[in-house]
Amino acid sequence: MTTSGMEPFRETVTRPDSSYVQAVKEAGMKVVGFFCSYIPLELLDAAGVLPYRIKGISGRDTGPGTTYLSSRVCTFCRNALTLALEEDFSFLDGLLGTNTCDPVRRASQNWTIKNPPSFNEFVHVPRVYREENISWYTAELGRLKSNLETWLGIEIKDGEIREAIESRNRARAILRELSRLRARAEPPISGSEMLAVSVSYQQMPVGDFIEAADKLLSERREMKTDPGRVRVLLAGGMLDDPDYVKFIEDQGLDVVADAMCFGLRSYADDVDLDKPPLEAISERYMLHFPCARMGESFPLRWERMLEAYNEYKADGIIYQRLKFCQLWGVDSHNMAPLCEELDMPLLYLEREYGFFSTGQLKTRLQAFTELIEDRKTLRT
Amino acid sequence: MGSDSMITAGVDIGSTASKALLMRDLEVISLAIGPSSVNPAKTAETVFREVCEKAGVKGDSVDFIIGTGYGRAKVSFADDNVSEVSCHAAGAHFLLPEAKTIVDIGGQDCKAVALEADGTLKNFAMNEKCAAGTGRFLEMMARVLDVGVEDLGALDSQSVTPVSISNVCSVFAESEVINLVNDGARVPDIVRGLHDSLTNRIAVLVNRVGLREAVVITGGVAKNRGVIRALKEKLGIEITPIPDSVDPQIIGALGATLLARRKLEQRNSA
Amino acid sequence: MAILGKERWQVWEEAYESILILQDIFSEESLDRTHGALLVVYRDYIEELFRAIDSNKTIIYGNFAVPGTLMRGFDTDEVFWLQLEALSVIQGLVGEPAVWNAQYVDAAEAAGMAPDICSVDRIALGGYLEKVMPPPDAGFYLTTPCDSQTCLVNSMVFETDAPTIVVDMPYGATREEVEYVGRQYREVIEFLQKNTGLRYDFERLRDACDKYNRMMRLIADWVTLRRTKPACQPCETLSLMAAVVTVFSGHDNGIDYATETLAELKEMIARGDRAVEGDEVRAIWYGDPMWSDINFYNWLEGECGVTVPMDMFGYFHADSLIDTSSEVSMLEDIAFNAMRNFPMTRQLLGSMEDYLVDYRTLCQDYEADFGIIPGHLGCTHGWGAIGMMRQESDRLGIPLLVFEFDMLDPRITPRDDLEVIFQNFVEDIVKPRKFGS
Repeated sequence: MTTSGMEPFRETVTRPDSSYVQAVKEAGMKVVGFFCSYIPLELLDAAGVLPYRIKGISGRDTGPGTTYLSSRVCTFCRNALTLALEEDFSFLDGLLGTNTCDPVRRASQNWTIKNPPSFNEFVHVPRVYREENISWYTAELGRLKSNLETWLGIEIKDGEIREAIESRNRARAILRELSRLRARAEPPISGSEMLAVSVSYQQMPVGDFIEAADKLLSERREMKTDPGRVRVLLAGGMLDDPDYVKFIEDQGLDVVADAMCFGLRSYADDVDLDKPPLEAISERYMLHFPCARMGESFPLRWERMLEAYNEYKADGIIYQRLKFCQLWGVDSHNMAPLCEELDMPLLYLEREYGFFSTGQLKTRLQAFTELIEDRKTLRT
Repeated sequence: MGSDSMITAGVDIGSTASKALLMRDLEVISLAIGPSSVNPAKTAETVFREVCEKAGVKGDSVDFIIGTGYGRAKVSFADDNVSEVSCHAAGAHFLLPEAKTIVDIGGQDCKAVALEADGTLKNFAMNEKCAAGTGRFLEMMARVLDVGVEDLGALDSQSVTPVSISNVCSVFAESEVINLVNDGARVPDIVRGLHDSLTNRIAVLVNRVGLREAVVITGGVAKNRGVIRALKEKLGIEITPIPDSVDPQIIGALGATLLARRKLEQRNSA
Repeated sequence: MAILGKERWQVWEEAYESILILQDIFSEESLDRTHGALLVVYRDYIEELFRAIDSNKTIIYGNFAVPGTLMRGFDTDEVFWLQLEALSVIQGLVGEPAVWNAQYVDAAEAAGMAPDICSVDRIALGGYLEKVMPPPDAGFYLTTPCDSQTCLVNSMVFETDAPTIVVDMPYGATREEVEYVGRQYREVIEFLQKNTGLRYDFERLRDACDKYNRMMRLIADWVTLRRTKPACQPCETLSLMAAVVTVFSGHDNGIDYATETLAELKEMIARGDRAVEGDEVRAIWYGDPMWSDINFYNWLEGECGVTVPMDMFGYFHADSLIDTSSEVSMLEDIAFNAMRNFPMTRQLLGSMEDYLVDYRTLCQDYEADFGIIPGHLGCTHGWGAIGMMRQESDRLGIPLLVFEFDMLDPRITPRDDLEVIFQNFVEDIVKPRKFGS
């Protein structure tokens, strides 16, 4: 049962150049694209640009992207590069390439060679978390800040960064509150709606986002819905498509929690206002609920997944991964014995970006639902 | 409906074959198998009608019907539908209560299912992406070798020097087999290599869900002694055979019928 | 067959036995110095491993990119540094990769590792799961050359539960980036000392660095001399330079191997030996080698008339020797070497230009008639650069052969298919261009 409060978010996930993007362009503001949850939104906000997380478009033919990247890398990168080459991202004034993973690195490199925006920078995000590496990232962000200042002809003051931190912390707090509604027995917001909202958080101007999210929160706080048959936590790699989540929910599984970068991982943690701004940002972004790209990250990720699992009273975990996504292909190995030990149902799904073979997916989801229901009814 | 006796039905619409089964309480009273057509709804009606006729039972006197298989959503007259994973588990458990790992090698897919002690699902892994590890792989190869699929088991046991098939992909394996034949390799040796290759793929799936005894093979390929031999060797574990009198193809429909009974019991006690 | 008088794991025994048999064979052909040296160093490695187990040495796991030289600051009487990829490489050379490496791939996948992770790392994990390696007391890894290495770290940390430290490798090799890695190496030393109780000695490191420098000077000459046209030394062992360098940097074996292969090359040049009979075709093998079937290179030269004067795995640089004047200079120069001198990291970890520039240089310096992109399935940053590589090749006017395979798992693209792919390309495209139709 949807409400009008979802409209801004629905619009944002359906088309890259949403009305919000168009509005900021008309106001003379610049838009800078990026790929990764490790890129700090606050720094871009403080620079007076709109941070825009690159998302694909389901169902697009990825021919051009595949020509440059081959069919041996994940379909998300091929989709994103195709959109870049076909001018779907022509509103971007800048792009931050990252070493998120090798395919994203190559996608951003091909993009900046073939259809370069006027500003492009490569940001190296360390893969490990020691103090040394966090300091390195702080320096990297300092370098990015200088380059932004040069490009824009401005100075980015600490005060401005602080303001941006406050706004983003506020936005994340609202996101967490919205998300927590799903801990109820009758979740008033679905997993696919929540994903649309958190994707929008990474594409909308933060002020507009806060306003829209607040409105949605007040609509949903008192709402009741009919729950599905079982409750699941959706984990795994890159997923920016609410339709995929909706497909799962249409089979009767409520996605009450998630542990993904377009989802919970982008809003679970705040930036510490008591530290010098760049250091605080570097620390928060390096140490946030980790991505599998980080070496030695599994124990922390697992701990936080379990926290979410328990907090949201999930019945099982669905772990999804894009084919060819190597970094997210290890958790399935690590999680199997742990889930077995904890008697926690685990369903492992492979997918291609933007397409899902519905018959096969339905069978797996149905079998998983039956598995969980039998556990609940027959063996408690 | 009078007495305490319950009649339940399971209708399993697979991609190649469709099956229906009727039970009165826990006794199988009839079963029917037929080819699947492009219209699963029609196939379901046909096979259900047939199984009712065989039992001398009217369709509307069946107390609960469950649809399963690839076309389960199209069994319009079913009271509910359940995944073939759960149905295979329930069917195998009924025949062999000690079964803890099911290896289902179907015509176009294969799956490994881990069961709890009561026959409910513990874990499962499926592969429908390619022919490797399925009945289709063996069909293709049997055609190339110009033998019947039903002869593969016997040929396997006649192998003296097994040949190793290096290709994992069935399309490439086909060329490899043709080359082997041209190079003079003996058919039984090739067949043995093919069975080994098939079970390599399946073993990875089985190990992912956790190998626990007793291990049971279901699906069209289950009666192939060569596959049983290869799987035994690969997993290092005895394979418990399904009773000879049971056609392994009907296990899904059997499970559906049993689950129909369970659902009926739950509904009545609620 | 026993190793050092004891029965060991079957797979190591089989590898050891194969090495000894090959050594017998090659001892009769005293001219084949490279093969002889290779067998010596691998035999030494296996014996060293089992000596380490027998005398209860500390075992430290590491990946391919870990600088051997750095590890030699520890006392080798007390520690054995086990490069996880070493066994899979040895098996590929002397054994039956379709059996051994395939078994470990299956074991890793059965344990839940995704099949699209590079086979090198699935084999390392699978080997560990099949218990063919002694358990580690600690782990030290670098996040290079690729994502799959991070996969290896995340799975090994989970499986082994041993204290582990990972070094982050940056995008380029500026002064700051070199210092960053140098500082991390110091953290590694402190971490390993603390967690193993072993003592690190910078004097030992200095010795190792001297040995590395000596080895590298020899290799630099060899790299230059391999430009000789027509080619004199066959290409079968070309890619193994990387395998030897990673394990034997800072060790006499590294120097010996480089000495032998350089000497052999010089002798062959002096004698006018030919890698290819008749008209040769020269190709740059720009990527992962055919370690699943090393004989393929012999077929290439014998049946196809194609020799590979240089490839990515043999391409080392003389400009990166180690300044031993201080601890910091040693750590930083080892870092620089790891970033700029080491195959794959040098070409693939950074920018697109990093990837293209070596290809350009190699084609030019070695007078290539065509380029080969060996498309190892797990190499996503190689594949991700394929479009630009094709454009570069077009611009250079050099035909490019791109094919799919797996560098350690021969089941993916069988030998017969590879022969057809190469034969067709060479006969239909390269030879007509070079020799006229």
